[in-house]
This record gives sequence, C-alpha cells and structure tokens, in this order.
Amino acid sequence: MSISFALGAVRPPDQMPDRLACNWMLISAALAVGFHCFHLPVWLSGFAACILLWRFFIENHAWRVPPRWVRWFLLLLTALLVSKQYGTLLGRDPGVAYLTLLVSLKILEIRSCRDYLLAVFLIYLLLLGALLFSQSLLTGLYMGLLIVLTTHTLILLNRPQPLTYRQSLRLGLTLCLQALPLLLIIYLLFPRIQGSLWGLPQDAFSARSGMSEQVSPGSINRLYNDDSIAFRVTFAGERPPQHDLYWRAFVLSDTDGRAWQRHQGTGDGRTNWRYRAKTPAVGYTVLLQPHQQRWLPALDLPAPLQRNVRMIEGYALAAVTPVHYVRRYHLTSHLRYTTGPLSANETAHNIHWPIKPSERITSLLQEWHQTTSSPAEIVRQALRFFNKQPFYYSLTPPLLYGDALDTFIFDTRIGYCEHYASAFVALMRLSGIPARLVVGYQGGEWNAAGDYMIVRQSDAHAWAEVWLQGEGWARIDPTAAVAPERIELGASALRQLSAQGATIGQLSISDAKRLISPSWLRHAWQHLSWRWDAINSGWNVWVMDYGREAQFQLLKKIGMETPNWLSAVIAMIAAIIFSLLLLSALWMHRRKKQDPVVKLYNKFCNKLAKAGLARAPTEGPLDFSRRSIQERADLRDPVLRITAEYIELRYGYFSSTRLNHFRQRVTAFRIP
Amino acid sequence: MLKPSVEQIVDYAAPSSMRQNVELLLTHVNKIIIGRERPVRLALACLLARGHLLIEDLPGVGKTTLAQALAATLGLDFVRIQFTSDLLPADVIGVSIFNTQDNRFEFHPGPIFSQLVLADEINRATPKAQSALLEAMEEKQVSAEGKTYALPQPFFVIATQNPNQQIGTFPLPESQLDRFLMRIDIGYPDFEAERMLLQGQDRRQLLHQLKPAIDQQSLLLLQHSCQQVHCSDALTDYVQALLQASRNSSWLRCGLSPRAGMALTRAAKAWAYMAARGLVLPEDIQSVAPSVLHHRLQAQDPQSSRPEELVRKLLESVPIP
Repeated sequence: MSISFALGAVRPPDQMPDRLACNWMLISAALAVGFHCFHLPVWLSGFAACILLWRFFIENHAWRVPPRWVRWFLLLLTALLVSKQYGTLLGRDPGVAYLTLLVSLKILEIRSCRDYLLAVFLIYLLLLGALLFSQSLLTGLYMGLLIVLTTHTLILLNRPQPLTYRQSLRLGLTLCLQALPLLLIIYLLFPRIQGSLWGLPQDAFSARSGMSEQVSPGSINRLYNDDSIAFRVTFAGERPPQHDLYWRAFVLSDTDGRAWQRHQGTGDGRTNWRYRAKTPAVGYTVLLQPHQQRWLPALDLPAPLQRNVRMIEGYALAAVTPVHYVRRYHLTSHLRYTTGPLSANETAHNIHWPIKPSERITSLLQEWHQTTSSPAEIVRQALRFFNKQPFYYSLTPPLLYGDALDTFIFDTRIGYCEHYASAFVALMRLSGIPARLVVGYQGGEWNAAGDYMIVRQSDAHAWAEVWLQGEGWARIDPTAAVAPERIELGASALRQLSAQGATIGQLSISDAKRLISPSWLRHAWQHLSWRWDAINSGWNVWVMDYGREAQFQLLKKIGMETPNWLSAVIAMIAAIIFSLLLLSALWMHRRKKQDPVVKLYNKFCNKLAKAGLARAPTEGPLDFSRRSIQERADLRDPVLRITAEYIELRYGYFSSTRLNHFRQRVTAFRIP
Repeated sequence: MLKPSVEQIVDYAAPSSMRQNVELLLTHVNKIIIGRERPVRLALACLLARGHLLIEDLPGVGKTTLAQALAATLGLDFVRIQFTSDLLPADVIGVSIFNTQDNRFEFHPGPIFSQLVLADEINRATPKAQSALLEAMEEKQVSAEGKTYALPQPFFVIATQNPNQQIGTFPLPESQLDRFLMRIDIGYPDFEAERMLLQGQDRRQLLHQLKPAIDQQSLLLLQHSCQQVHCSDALTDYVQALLQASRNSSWLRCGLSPRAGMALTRAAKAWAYMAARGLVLPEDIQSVAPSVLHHRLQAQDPQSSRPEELVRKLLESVPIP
C-alpha cells in the first residue's frame, strides 16, 4: 500500500463517518486519556472517562448530544475544578489536566465530520503532552502504539468506502513506518536550542529527587526503600572491588551539632585540586538520572575534568546547571591517594564542634588520649570502640533527643551509616583531628547483562574522612566496623537480611551470603530485570542523552567545522531533501525492477546489438530471431535456442531450472 | 542434419492432429481464393476464435466467394442474405404466420437460423434491418414476439460491405461494428495468382466440388482448443499497454474498450494456435491487431489518417514490455 492509496479518494465533507470509525476514535481517545491517568488526580481521569462513555452512548445507543447550556456548564465546571485542584490553570500539571478535559468535552459535542477530524488532531496533541511527564522507553513504545492507532482512526474517518479495521490498521502502521526516516532526521538534526523558550515549566522539576545537599538524621534513611536508579556506570577497564566503590556526591563540613551542610564560608580557599595518586587511574562513564540538583557522583577521588563540571569543596564535582535531564560524563579516578597538607584555616574549620561535649564523651576521649597521642591510633581506637561495643545497624533506629551524640554513643547504640559517620566525625573533631562527612553512594549492583553497574537511591551512604599527617584526607567508614555486610554485600542484601530477621553485624559474611543466596526463580527474574535495565540504559545513552553537544559532535563528524544551530537547520533540510530523493529513486527503481528473464534477454539483445543487430522496442522475440538469423546465419543455433527458452520462460510457464539453463546459455553466448 | 526451428523447440505446440486439421482447412480454402493467404488465414482465425467477420472491399475481389468457401470447407449449413435498402428485420429473423388449421400463430424462422450467415453488402440496408442482426450476433439467440429462439451451434456471421464512400450506403453503427471480431480486406491478387484465376476453372464450379474438410465435432473441438492457448502475464501486460496507449493518445478520438482488449487476446490465441503454438507471443498480437482494431479506432481528425495507419501508429508507439 502506498501513500497515494491513503490520500486517494477522501470522504466527502458532508458525509458522516460510520460507527466503526467513531468507535475507534473513542478507543484512541480513551487510551490517550489513560496515558495521562498516571499523573492526573483520580477524580479527573474518572471525569474524562465518564464524558467519553457518554459519547459512546451517543454513538451507539442514539443518545442525544447535550444541549448548549449543558456544554457551557461542563466547560465552566472543568475550569473551576482544575483551578481548585491546582490553584492555577498555568503550568504543566494543571495545563495538561485542563487539556485532557477539554479534549473529552470536544469529543462529547462532535456534530460534523469536521469535528471528528478535529478530535483526532486533539488526540495527537494530548499524546504529545505525555512527553512532558516521562520520556522513558516504555512511554515511547506506548506512544508509538497510540500514534499508529490514532492514524488508523484518521484513515477510517477519511475513507469514503468501508475499510475493515485490519486494512486500516495495516495502512496506519505502514504510514507511521514510512514516517520513521523523517523522524530520525528531525530528531538528529533539529536545532536543540537551550533556553527558557524550549524549557519545561518550572513545576516539571519539582518531582522527587535523590539526595539533598543537607543531611540531618533521617535524610538518607528515607532513600533506603527507594529502588529507583540514581546512576549507571560503565568501567573502561577492570571493575574495582565492591568495598572500594565509594561514590562521592558532596562533602559536608558545617554542622550545628545535629544537621550537616556544605561549607557556606569562603570555601577552603583551594583552587588547585591536586593529589598524589598511589594506584593507577580507573576510567569510567557515568549515566546520571536527573535529580534536579548540581552534584555529580564520582568515584573517590576524581581527576579533573571536563567542560561544564566544576570541582567544589572536598573533591566533589558539581554541574554548572542543575541536572534536569539524563546526563552522561566520562571520568578517571584514583582509589589510593595522598592529598597535600592542610592550611590553618581548613584545620580550624574541620575540627570545629559547636556543642560542649557531655561528661561521658569527655571521659571516653580522655581514656583514648591516655593510651596514645597519635591521631592514627585514635582513629583505630574509635573504630575498635564501634566494633567491640554492642552497636547495632538498623534502618529503623529509635529517635534521638537532647544531646543526640551522647544518647547515641552510650544509650541507644542503634543506627545506620549516617549516625555512625556523623558520630565518628564528632568524636574525631572533639579529639582535635580534622574530620568531615562525605555523602554519596556505596557499592551498586553489577548488571551482567549489560556489563555496567547500577547504583540505586537505596545505595545512598555516608562516611567520614579524617586528615592525617602524611596521608592527607583518608576515608574512614565506621559503618564497616559495625555492619561489614553493608559494604561487602550492599544495601539490598542488608534489607533482605533484616527482612529475614537476622541481626546485622552478628553474622559472618559467608553466612550472610548463604542466607540471601537467591532461588533459581529469583535468579532468573534478576537476569530479566538486568536485561530490561540494559535496554533502558541504552535508551538513555542513545536517545535521552542526545543533546546539543552530541548534535554538534555529529555535525562535526559530517564535516561541519564550526557547528551552530543554523548549520543544523541546513543539514536537516539537506537530509530531508536527500532522503526524499532517495525514496523516490528507490520507488522508481522498484517499479522498474525487471524480472530476471527480461534482464537476461536484454543482455542477449545487447550482445546482438553490438554486432549491429539491434532489436526495435516493438519487435517481438520471434520476429527478432528470424531477422537475426537472416543477417547472421552462423548464429542460427544459439539464437534459436535462446529465443525458444526466452519465449517459454516469459510467455509460457516459469521454472527456476529453466531460468538457470537460460542464464547459462545467455552468459555463454558469444558473437565471433 | 535437421535444423531446429523455434516452433519445433517450443513444447507448447498443439497436438499434431489438430494442426493437420488447420492445415487442411487452409489448403481447401486457398484452392478457391488463390494468392490471398493472409486474409484467408485471418478469416479462419476469426471463426476459430468464435468471432464474427466483416469483410470490406471493392466488389468483385472475392468476398462472397471467401465466405462460401469457408462455409463449404467447414461443412456448415450456409445461407446468404442480400442486404438491400428495403430489407426488413422480419426478412432476417423470421415471421409468425397464423395457422388456420391449428388456430394459432406459428413462428417461421428466417434465414438467420443457419450456422453460417453471409450478410452480403450489409451497409446497403437501413439501420433498422442492420440492428436485427445485433442481438443474434452477440447473444447467439433471436427474440421474436416475446419468445427467445436459440440459434444453431456454431453460429457465424460473415458480413461484407462496400467501402462507405460509395453511393447508397448506411454506415454501420459503432455498436454493431464492435461486435465483429475482425474486419479484413481481401485486396487484389498478385500477378501470378490472378493469371491462374483467369486461366483456371470457374470458381462457382470449384465451390460445388469442395468437400467439407472437417466435421462439426472437430470444429467445436478446434474452437475450444484455441481458447486453451496459454496467455501469460507478460502478454497481458502488452495488451494492457496497448489499451492504455490508445486511451492516452492525443490522435485518437476515444480509447479502446475492454471488449477490444478481449477481442485482441481471443484472436491472438487463435492465431497462435494456427501457428501450432501453445502460447501467445507479442507477434501474434501484432499480426491480428490490424484486423481486430481497424474498425474500433477513430482518428481525432478522420480526414488526416486512415484506420490502417492508426493501428500501425499505435503498435509502433508501444514497446513490448
């Protein structure tokens, strides 16, 4: 089927479409509204569904279209309800909600054929609105399906003679597939202008995000049950061991004794983020999901750097603008390193503790100082303290009140990484050792199906850094002293263990491993979900991450020295014209595509033509052979045989064996 | 060494007994019509394709003789209707006469109830009489006074006419022309043939001596076999290209009808069969096209070109696909 068929006879404008077309229109409208029900309030989707149902009865059970005053009433009612729900009619959410209701109302009041067509175009618009909410692979697939269905509805509405829904679906699919090359060209080359004009309304970014840049007790805990993906990492070389995977997001050194935040002062004055690496670099690529903030996770410690990325306090990376879209960046990191000396200013800042310690803490610290004066030894003492004393790891610790530090260390003794890290930093600072809190992610899940690491929100982690003479900033994870399972097996293992009732910190690693070893069913499920995630990751890399930079790189690759939006437009128009030419050439070629018998016969005729015996276009094979023989009696035998075989193949019955004979004979035919 | 000819190599030859029948028919007729092999062959092809034949030529070239020779050779019962300006339809179809003994009307079949009807000088009759032939030719039946009478099988009409320019002629309406599968002309014999004609026996005597070459069963079988000749897609493409070209041309008043296309294929099948070939070739189409299309094509400007030239022009404008 071709486009001309689709555009062929069009229904006369005064003739109403048949019931099949109307019902398909309702189906596509319902599916398009259904697409939005994930983010619309339930009452609103229900309202739209009721209106469509009403239309269904009008179409199929001869109900009457409601009178004008009812329609006006419904229109005002929807405007009122939407603005009541959202407080405004502007912005993404109320806008789409209002659009959904208006489209349903338009469908309700359809009277003429023109109205039907208008409704179909409104359905397309409604589909487009779904992109404001999600751009995932599944959304794309669902949208593709709905576009085919809506196109099919449009065809049904336009055809004057009845077309079965199968024929029309096929035609719709063909049309959409034919549009694919154009879609690809426009996707790749349409200028990607950055700015508010093209941006989403502000409320589009208010959705849930990952970690906030301020940590108070409980802020990481809330992520533990969040299985959504924070970022994915592909390693260039070998993957570092699990216990070395500390993904630094940001460093917190300002505290009021309870909550921690990033250093608000003049910074630690460093512009030169250098360190001495002790191990070779690890290269990797991070594919970060949008989190609406600036921090960019990196493996300890990242080496500087690429465009649009800054290094901020404590070797953490930050983007210039908040990460609203999927972002991909390449980095190299070193896992063992020595940072340089600390300035007096920095030292003072990093040993500051705003609250006077309780007596129990003072005596504990005095006890440590009596045995040793070396900071490294005090660190070891502190870790030993966490390890030997009955500290427990739990995701649901009791609430801390009063002097939180004192209560935690001596009374409750139940907490998770954030408690241990902040308590540890507090103890270090009180002992006069510069220390700070690092927040990020630890570990991750290796996706064997795609050879990359998945780091989820639930892998969020907090640890400490202390500054030691000769070593510089050193990573200390007190959680590892309390619950080694967290570091060795990961956050998800921890959750499974606590779900099975095991006390965390009491089991050996091998026992814990055995306890959570997956059943074959779970194993298979895991493999499936890995594969699905690999597909999604590919979608993110190839589709979502394709932005201005990637477009300019593509333009450079096709030979444009200094790409800008104008060159993108030129390239796009050229590509469209070229592909249209190519398509029409292909089409012409297909029309002209000869069957092999004719092709071979023409070859034979060409051979004779070179000997001065050209066949006239209106000369039949028999006449031509007679004439040829008259002119060249020596060729009688081969000419007769070839002509006879040609006649049999072309005007008799075709057989592939005969074709082979024919081919051999024509190929062997020589004119002496 | 026996050198092969294309006809010998191609398998789709008709059975030899059939071929002999065709050859026999041709030699019989050629004994009477000397030196005009092509018109004779075309006339026979037309009859084998179950079509009606229109012979148009000057008086005295042997139109009637050809018709009589065909009738005699095919062993058909033959009647000749001389068309004149005062001929009435009842003179052709028949008439109901009141039978006083039985007290009812009795239908007396007219001359058309024969296997081979020679409508001589058909364009001398009025259109009313001409149209009496119409139903008979297409439907192979006759309606008179509310009753339908089937015509005998096989049923052929061979009509002859003088060129329309002559005085006292009524040109055949186009609808009736379309019912003739072929329109042929005989033309003058060449010098040698004419000499033989002049020196030989009287044609009329020879006609009386002519024995039927085949029986009616064989004739029906021959007609049936002709339609079994294979017509491939490639050939249909060619026929369609010709039809399209005629419809798109600027120099024709109107394009060829689908019936013309069917006639072309049918005639070409018979032509191929007579050449002892089991499949139709473009050459067959080209051979029969002048006769089949001649009376179906009209030039935009009738003064400028003759029908023969129109067919030639059409064939030359369409390459064989």
